[in-house]
Amino acid sequence: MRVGGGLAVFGIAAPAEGTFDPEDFDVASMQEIEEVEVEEQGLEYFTIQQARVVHDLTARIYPSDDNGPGAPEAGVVYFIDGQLNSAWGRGERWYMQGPFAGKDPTSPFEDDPDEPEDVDPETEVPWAEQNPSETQGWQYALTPNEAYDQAIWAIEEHTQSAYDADSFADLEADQQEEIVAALENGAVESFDRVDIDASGFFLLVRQNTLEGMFSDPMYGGNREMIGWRLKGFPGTPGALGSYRSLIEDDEYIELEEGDYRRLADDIDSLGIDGDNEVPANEQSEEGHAHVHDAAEADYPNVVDEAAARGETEIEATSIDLDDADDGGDQ
Amino acid sequence: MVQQLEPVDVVTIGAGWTGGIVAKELAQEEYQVVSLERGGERETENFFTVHDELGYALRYKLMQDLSKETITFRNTVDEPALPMRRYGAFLPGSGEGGAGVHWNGQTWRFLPYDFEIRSRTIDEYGEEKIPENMQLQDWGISYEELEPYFDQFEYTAGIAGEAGNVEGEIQEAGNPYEGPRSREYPLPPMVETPVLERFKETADDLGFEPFQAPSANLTESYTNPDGVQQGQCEYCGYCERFGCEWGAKASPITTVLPAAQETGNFELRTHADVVELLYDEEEDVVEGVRYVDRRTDEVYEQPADVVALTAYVLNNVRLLLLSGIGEPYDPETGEGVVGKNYCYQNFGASARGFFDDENWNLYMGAGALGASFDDLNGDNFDHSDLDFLHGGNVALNQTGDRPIANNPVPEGTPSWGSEFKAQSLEYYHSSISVSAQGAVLPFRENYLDLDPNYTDQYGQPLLRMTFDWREQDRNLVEHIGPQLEELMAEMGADRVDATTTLEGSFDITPYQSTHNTGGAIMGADPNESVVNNYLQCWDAHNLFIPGASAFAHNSGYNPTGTVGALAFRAAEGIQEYLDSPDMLADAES
Repeated sequence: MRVGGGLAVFGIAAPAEGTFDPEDFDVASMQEIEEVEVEEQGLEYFTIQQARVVHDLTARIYPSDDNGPGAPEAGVVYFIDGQLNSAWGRGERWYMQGPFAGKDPTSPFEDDPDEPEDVDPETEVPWAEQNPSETQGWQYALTPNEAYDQAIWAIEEHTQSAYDADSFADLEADQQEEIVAALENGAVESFDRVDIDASGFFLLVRQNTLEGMFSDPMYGGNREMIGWRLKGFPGTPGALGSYRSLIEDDEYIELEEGDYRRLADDIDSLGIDGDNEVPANEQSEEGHAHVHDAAEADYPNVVDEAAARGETEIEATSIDLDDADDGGDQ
Repeated sequence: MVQQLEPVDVVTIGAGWTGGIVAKELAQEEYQVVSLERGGERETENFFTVHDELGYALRYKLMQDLSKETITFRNTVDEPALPMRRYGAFLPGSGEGGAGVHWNGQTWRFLPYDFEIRSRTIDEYGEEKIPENMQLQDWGISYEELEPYFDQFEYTAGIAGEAGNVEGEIQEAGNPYEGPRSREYPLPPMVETPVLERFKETADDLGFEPFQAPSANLTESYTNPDGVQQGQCEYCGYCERFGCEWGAKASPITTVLPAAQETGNFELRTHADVVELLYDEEEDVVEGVRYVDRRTDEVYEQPADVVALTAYVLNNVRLLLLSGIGEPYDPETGEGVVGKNYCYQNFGASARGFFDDENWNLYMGAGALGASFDDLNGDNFDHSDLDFLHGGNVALNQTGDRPIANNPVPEGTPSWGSEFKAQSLEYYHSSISVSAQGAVLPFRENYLDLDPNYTDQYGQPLLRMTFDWREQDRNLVEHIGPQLEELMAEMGADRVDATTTLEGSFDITPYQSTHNTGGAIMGADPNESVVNNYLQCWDAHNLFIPGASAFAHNSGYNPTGTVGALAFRAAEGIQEYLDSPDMLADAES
């Protein structure tokens, strides 16, 4: 759900306590941020020049600053590059049949042998003159990777005409910010020559930047869980992860290094203990007994075969498998 | 070449909640049942790597493949409809278990008022209270008649909650506005977290009657009446758009489908995409269904004594229209029935609070972990001086704030750059919201039909949705929104951003809810409805169509509890029909 557009302006808040200490990170320290560069190695979709543009775009959207590392350190450009070389980037699960409003010729179905028989002539529309309503969602004739190709071209075109530079990636940060603001406002003229508008591309790259900051590191972004550490998100609970023993606590859990990706999991009982500190959930007495119970419980399954065949009338019963874990109600 | 198969007793189109319930009930009665599911097989073991927000929540791993089939959409009849090319407002599922695998688990019974909404509105306020274009209809069944089926669904699923009304006795802890239930919920309610406690205390101070919301995230390991066991919810925060690796969120794959399999009378055929119901208009029966095996592109015809149309709402309506069953609805004349009374859910009223000095562990949660009140829902408050009908359930849900989707910032904050980053980090653990789940009532020009231009993978017309907000919806938001704003302020928020008006047209871009309803509605009059109160089609006696497509309007709740009850009702009707093939209800007009 979107919120309405109020105009109140908020100042920049101080960083949330404990969210960022450069010492915690095994990555470029803040002093070295300028040196984070795109390397050709490993690119799956972009050219090196395209990647430099996207790298800087995402760095403006989620910057490295006093609040901690941002898109460059998280490797967001590599995340997006990988996504564009996936089924998603190719739009394989999007409906991409024409005609496309604002693009395809008028009355595109006239000579179409597959035309449904019951076409009502009144519903035919001159597609090329038809602008989709904003409420109708994505109507560009583009998959995500095509959208990136065209938008990057348009951004470079705009840079060359409006700034004395060859590439967006060569601009100063404040100049890049001007362009990102213009993208958001749909005010970049060179986009008139491509099939996506500037604000549509802004929404796409903004969304992908957040995805690259905070998705599972297996997708190539959120390197070393930078995004999760920034946010104080303990990492996705692993298979059979649980917060049941913690969720009722009044106390807010200040995460420590050993907690990331471990808070919800009883690593010991799963037999994959590392050498990190003791996670918060193991510090409490009732913290983790359920994992043993879960390993014993083989559910869901049919435990009363006669009942499942509808052969018996049994009263609903509640079987508590894990007496050992009733500590959560304190 | 079309391959003819041997007839079976019952075929269901889809194997989600409705198909699964029908399949189980009939298979247990020794009938041969086949479920045709367009997607693949699924089981709990598939979800050991499910805690992947990108893959499941944002790349829609469990949803229908839109490249093969989607809908077209427009706000008004004079616009051209354009295809929903990528996901936004709602997320139809695909695969065994259907959307019942990726739901949150919020499980409600609609109010007694809902089923008799037209009569009760006229009794209470007079007929002039109903706006001219609002096609308010009774459902042809009362809450009391449906109660046993609600009970069946809740005990089959293992719903956790606090009863508010047991056989007419109001219970202190529960929802005093709910219809009388025959017994308590099978499981105790979900835990009360610090933010839910805050919500309840504040709501109580303001004179509302809060309670713990009912949940299909199981609070204890549970063996249901079919002898099927499910696990206990671990509050990991990955429900909606995800499957549950614990088997702790009731779904068809953890309940009714395993029970159906156990009978030996049930066959699930996956990758079986039904493209047409074989309708004999003269005999008023459906002889069977035609489907494509997606793995081979072979086309089959499966004859059956009874056909249960148990696809998603939108597919139910589309298959009726493609098969020529029932008279298509015409918004100009208001005549016809198939596609009529399409409704949705109005989440326009909400209030988000930002707390400067408090933090909570909001990444922990469960899809149906919530606190709620019903004082502003249904006709639980006096509408005499109000310019709308119905209302909405108000809730604070702690579903688990996953990190990509949750970057809460106060209004006016830029959407990118250092200030966005600072604010979204500041409030990630200290921003909560309350919202009203507004009922959407039927209007003459909100409807479903076939699109004249766009087609699916087989060249068949897509379903076309025509829908927009009405004054009813805007007035409802303007009434409830400010009350939510006050509630959030009273909860202690340092700043409240509330939406108290519903601006513009319905927009298919942002996710809102998958509570699409109507289009094949139930009722007592064949001229006003598609199915009778056994969910039996007036125009095809052996065709039963349970599902939210049967809702004559949408209430202020999540639909699944009522969908489940209707499916048990239909299953009983099918059994009666198989014993004695006839119309099960008399037409009134």
